[in-house]
Amino acid sequence: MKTVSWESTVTNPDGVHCRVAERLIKVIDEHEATVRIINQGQPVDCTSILELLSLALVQGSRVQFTARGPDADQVVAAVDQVLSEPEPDQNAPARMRMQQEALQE
Amino acid sequence: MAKKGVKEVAREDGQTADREPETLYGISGSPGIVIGRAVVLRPRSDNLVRYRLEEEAIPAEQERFLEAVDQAEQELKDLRSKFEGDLSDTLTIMDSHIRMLRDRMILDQTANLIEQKQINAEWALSRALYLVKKKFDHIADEYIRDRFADVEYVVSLLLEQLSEHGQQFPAGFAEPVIVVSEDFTPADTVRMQSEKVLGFLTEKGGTTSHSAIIARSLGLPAVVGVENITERCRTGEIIILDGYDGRVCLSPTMDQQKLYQEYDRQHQAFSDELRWYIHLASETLDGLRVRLSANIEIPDEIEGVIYYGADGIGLFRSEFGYFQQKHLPDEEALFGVYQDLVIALDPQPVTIRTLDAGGDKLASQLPGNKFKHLHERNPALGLRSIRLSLREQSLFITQLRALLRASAFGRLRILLPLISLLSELKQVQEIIGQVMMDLTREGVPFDPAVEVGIMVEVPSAVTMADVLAAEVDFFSIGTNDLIQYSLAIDRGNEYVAKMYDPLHPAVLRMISRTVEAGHAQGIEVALCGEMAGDVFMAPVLLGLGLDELSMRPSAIPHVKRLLRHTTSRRLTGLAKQILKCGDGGETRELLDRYLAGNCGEWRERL
Repeated sequence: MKTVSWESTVTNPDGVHCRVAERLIKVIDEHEATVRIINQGQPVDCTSILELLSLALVQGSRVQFTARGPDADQVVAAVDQVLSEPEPDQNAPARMRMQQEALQE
Repeated sequence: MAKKGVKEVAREDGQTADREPETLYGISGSPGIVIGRAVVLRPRSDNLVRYRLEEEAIPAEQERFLEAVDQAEQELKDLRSKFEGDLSDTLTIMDSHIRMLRDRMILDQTANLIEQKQINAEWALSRALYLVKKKFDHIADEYIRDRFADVEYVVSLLLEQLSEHGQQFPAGFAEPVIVVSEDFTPADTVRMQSEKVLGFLTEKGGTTSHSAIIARSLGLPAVVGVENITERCRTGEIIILDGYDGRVCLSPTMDQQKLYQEYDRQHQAFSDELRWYIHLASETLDGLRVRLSANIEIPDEIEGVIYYGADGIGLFRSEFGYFQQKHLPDEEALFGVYQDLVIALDPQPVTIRTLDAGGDKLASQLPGNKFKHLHERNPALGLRSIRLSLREQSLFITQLRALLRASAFGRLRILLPLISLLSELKQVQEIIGQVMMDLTREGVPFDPAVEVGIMVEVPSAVTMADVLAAEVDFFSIGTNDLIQYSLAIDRGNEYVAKMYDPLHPAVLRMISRTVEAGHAQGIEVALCGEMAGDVFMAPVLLGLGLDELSMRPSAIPHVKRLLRHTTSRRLTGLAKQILKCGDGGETRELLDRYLAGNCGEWRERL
């Protein structure tokens, strides 16, 4: 089974918060590969959004990844893209909650 | 049901030890004293439901949690579908919420905690959330750290789902608890019997609320109508529930606990002994048998009826079922209830009284709000009970059809309330005959020899008892109404309520006269008023020759004990003397002397 290791830098301005983490997991999900982050020597599976968030990957963080599986090569590019996407709307969480309330009325 | 003794509960819980003891007052729902930890179910505010589970309850609790996850996920997906089309950021956030629901730090963690710590799902989930919080607290970046709000939101959705599922009474308490809620359904109350529940407290309800009725018939202590109890009482807190006086002590001192233990010890010693009587025959030392049967109002009480060894049901007040919904029950619904009762008790008799309500109460269910403006100056003497049934015959026929159909499944007895005239009875018999003919024509099975009896509760029925007895299969004396009608006392009127006296010789003579008239015609005479379950009064009733006393189920062992320690000769002797008394005071004196001489130390009133 093919294993790829690489390092990536988080460039999106707010780091890996909910939306980025969600996109990251989704993108990985679309590939046939298990992706892990090596954090202080401990590998963390990129399947738990809460664990991803609790890694507190802010802008500029350097992240060690390993990918294992047939799609290992392709997943590298996909992950890197998510980590460097610009953020179009920073206030989305607040706005979403407002809309939710509006819906309930 | 095992009767639980009152034990001291050490105040080991740090959070309750600092609270001042406080006593709150409600209404006695069901007698008994218990001390234990409270579990507040469906609490308002952020007071979390917490209780420990016994091992066997773990898989079901995990299952309940997973169901809540499914429901919360569906809820979020539904919400998401309303945003479909634009706002990709919003959608991504909602996707992240959906993902959090099934994140191993929430889902696996909670399921594991339920198992490892043996705690309920709400409690486990809040612990899981706390563990997530500890991780997030270490995050230096404020923006990411604040995403904890999203986790909290997702957990709050789950808690909401759990509390909705919590409508079902929780299962598998690891230690005996006192449950507290705004209100309990009759089904909850029945469940409590099989769970480790010592008793319950509610905000709503009075002595006649259904949960209180069942609690009494099961012998489960309860205090109802305690204002704001769900807010004032905290889960895990030790409380004393005093169902005799309708009191609750929150965070009691050790001295208070000791005092209540002593109160309870006396009651307890008595009821423990009484349990021996449940499976014994109800007969005197010289072999006179008297049927001790149960009065019930709702079908769920059947548990208590069987537990306390009742000889059948002497009175099922069929009003239940008529006031549950906005519309009248149909024949099938009534038949279902009656059939279940008859089958559950077969071969014991189940006596079902036909609708005994006033027209005003049913007005909203009747087509065209018929009696909405029925303004009666004297409702007790007005259009009610059998009079309403004869006026609204379709209503009556529906009930008779259901009763007759159920009679095919066991021993059902039809009891007609408030009969005051022979012609009234004849009219009913005619209708019954007609309904039987209809059923025969339709090929629907019923028992053609079904017993039909009347309530003797109007003075005119007592006077004419010899004539009426020739027309029916049994009598049942309804003393609650008979006393009101014969003494002209409204027991709900505080100024005269004191004069409501079941031991008034006039009442006892009427009972005696009814018994004689019935026996002269060879029919059985039962008595189903409250006085039947009062051990102080029961000896007179037994002496008057009644064939059956019908009472709330938990009173049966008390009366049975009394019966088994005496002889028919002593009882008849007592009754003979009492019939000569001039007033209730004299009757009481005689009874006091009799009980002192015959029943020794356990002269307590129920």
